[in-house]
Amino acid sequence: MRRVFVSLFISLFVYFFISSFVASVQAICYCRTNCRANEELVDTCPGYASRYCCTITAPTATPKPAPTSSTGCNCNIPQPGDCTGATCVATTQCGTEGISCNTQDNATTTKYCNGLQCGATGRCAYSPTCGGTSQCKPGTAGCTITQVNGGCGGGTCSACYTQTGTISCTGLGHCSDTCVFDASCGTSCGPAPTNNPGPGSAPTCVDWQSITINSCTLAGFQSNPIGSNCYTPNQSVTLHLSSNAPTYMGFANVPLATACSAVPDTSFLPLEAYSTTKSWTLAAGTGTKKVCVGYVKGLLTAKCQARIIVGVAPTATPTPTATPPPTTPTPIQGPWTKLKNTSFISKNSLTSSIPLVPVSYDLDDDGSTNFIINSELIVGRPSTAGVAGAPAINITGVNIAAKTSSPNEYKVAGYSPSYLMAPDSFLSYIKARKQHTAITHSDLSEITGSGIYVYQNANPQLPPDPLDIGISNSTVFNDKNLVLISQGTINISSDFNPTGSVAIVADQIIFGNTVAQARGIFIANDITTGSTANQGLKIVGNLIAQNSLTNSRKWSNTNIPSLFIVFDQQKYINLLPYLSTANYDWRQIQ
Amino acid sequence: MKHKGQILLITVMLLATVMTIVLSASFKSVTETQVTKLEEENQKALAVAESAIEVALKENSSNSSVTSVAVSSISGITGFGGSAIIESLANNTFVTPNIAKDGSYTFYLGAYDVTAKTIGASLAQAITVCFESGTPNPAIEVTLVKTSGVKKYVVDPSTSQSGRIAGVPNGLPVSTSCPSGYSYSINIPGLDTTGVGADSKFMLVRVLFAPTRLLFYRATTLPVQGRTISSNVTSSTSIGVSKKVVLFQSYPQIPGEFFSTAF
Repeated sequence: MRRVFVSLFISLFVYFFISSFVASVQAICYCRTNCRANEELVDTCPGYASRYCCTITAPTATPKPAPTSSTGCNCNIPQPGDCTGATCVATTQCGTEGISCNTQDNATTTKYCNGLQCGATGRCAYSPTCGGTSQCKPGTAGCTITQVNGGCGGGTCSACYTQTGTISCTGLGHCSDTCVFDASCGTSCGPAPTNNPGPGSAPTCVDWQSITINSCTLAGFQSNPIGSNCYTPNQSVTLHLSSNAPTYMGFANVPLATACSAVPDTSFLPLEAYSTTKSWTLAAGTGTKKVCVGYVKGLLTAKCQARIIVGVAPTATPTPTATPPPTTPTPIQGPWTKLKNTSFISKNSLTSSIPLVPVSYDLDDDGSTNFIINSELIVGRPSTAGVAGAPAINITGVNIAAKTSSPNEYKVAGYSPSYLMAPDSFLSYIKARKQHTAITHSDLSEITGSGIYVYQNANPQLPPDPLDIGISNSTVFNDKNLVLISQGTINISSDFNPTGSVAIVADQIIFGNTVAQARGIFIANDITTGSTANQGLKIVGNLIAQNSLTNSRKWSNTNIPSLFIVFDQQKYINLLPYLSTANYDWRQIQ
Repeated sequence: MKHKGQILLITVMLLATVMTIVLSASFKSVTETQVTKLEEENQKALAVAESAIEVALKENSSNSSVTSVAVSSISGITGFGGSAIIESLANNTFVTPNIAKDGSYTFYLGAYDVTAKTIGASLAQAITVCFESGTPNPAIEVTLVKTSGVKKYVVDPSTSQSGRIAGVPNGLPVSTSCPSGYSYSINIPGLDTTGVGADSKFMLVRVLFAPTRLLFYRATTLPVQGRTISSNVTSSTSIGVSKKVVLFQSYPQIPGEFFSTAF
């Protein structure tokens, strides 16, 4: 009995001794890029990116597989052989998915592109068959693009396209061409190029006056109820055209919501010689139909619209004589704003009643009914007017034909943007990350050169006093590119036309009543333009009021915009080192 | 006598058991101490690597000819070797970080001179801007800034939907220059009249509706868009911890909020 007890005790001792030793050894965590054959991957190694905590595998334990991608391929940093039997899905992983030759992933190890091994240069090799853009991809080895000034229908371009470049594959020759639509490529595409006839003779388009459907006029469609002549029983109508002697014209039926300015030029093809009438078939169905006409004169175009209702005019309900019918109050033209060559993206709703017949502010203003003027009027060229986005956009209170811009109307109502940068946060950024100079003298004598200046109280703990910029101190801005920042109010009391590029960033900017023009980029939470009876304000640069703009400027002629903002890109170019932040991308490789 | 032998044997075994427990505990304690030291050195090495980047950025900003900083030359740092190297990596593609809704990215079309703070001439060559899909889809407005003026290009993949930008290109079909993951694109032509010309300075891309990354592609190498600082640090102790940190600092970025008119 005693022997049995002793034997049992010895057995228990041996088991306990061995298991304790093994357990203690197992607890050691080796940080390795790849666990060894006799080790088990437990977790990521604390503090080591791309390394794993490996412990020695217990003899009786079931080996735990290393983390794998879809095929069980080793997902560690790739080493030659890691991806054997599998294709790569990224430079650091393996997987089963093939890679299209369209991608430009670096091919560092075993990597295939839909059966084609990656090129020696580390990019997907082009296909041995040269026939498509995906097979001869710009940027891939052997593929080159040569810019050319080819003519209409050159190379593989179709008749209405101009050849702008050729694409070639080494050893395979010419593959294809890059082509752009060109309205000057003949009468089937548009008129032959002529000299610019000048603004005075450019085709003009005054909506509703330049195209009329049957006898439906502007007044008829705008009247309440709509005039009976703005109804047509069928799709066959006669268009009456009126323009400033254009050479060609073309037409397109478009949905009601589509701006004619946004209709592609090709939709107006084929063009025909200009005449004052045209038989036309409206789009099928009943309801309001919209027709766009495109006038072409030399290199200049104009697109105009008209509407008519397909259906039967409603019978007028007799109105009791005792009760006069309610009348729609005539909108009163108030101060309004116009922009040029910029975008408008605001958290505030946009309300600016553009008049029926605007009058130009000055020679920079084309006098159009657009909220943002586009100074590029040549067909096929990109607009200089950008997106107009706000929670609500109301610019048609007086003129229902007013647009945010033309010919391309990049309008998005119901949009609520967020401001990621504000005057306060920009000042904080400047103080933390950029070289700047703190100034305290209201005569601005401390401004000595280009740079960033922060106007503050002599006691930095206190808010700065209002800073007045006027005749006495505005000359310090000449011949310098600078950003002036204040957490308080900046009053601009006289015309501000420095010869350098200036940006003013403040909590509040107030323009005096006598200021007629200010050149600079004015950024503030709140901006006040002053109050006048017959004087507008022109800003050359940009104006950003993130909270509110109080504009009490007026002209006696209310058809002139009271605030005219002309974007000046040169100021942004000159102020790039100062009116800017930096973007950082931090990665721990090892 | 027999009893004495058995008691001795049991005593020896008990002693051995106690020693095993003590040694195991001691071994584990030593191991944990080593791991703690390793972690401490690991953190130190990371801090040194980041410091080297800061010093390199500062010195390069004041003197662009400084392209590397040895860790040993940084005052207050001992026990570590290595360096921080400033590189200007150029390629024919450039990928931005993820840009938040209503954020923007300033993409340089000419070489930016950090010292003179000027942008060199651009190539009159087409550039493709690719962006991602999402829910909702992002839209982009590209403002091409030239000395002679600006040009605007707008793409909205959801242009046909209510509440979106109507009547603009939808970015399809996506350019073959865009790698997988990028669903929409716009090509800015390489002609002065319609796109990128020699007087082009930069493009400011404003992202609307949803965040996205942007990828810029050109057939030839794109201008450098910022400084890449690679810091590689190794501790000189027997443990020999190594850390490598890479930082990309873009050239100046104009905040999109300060670029679009607002009131």
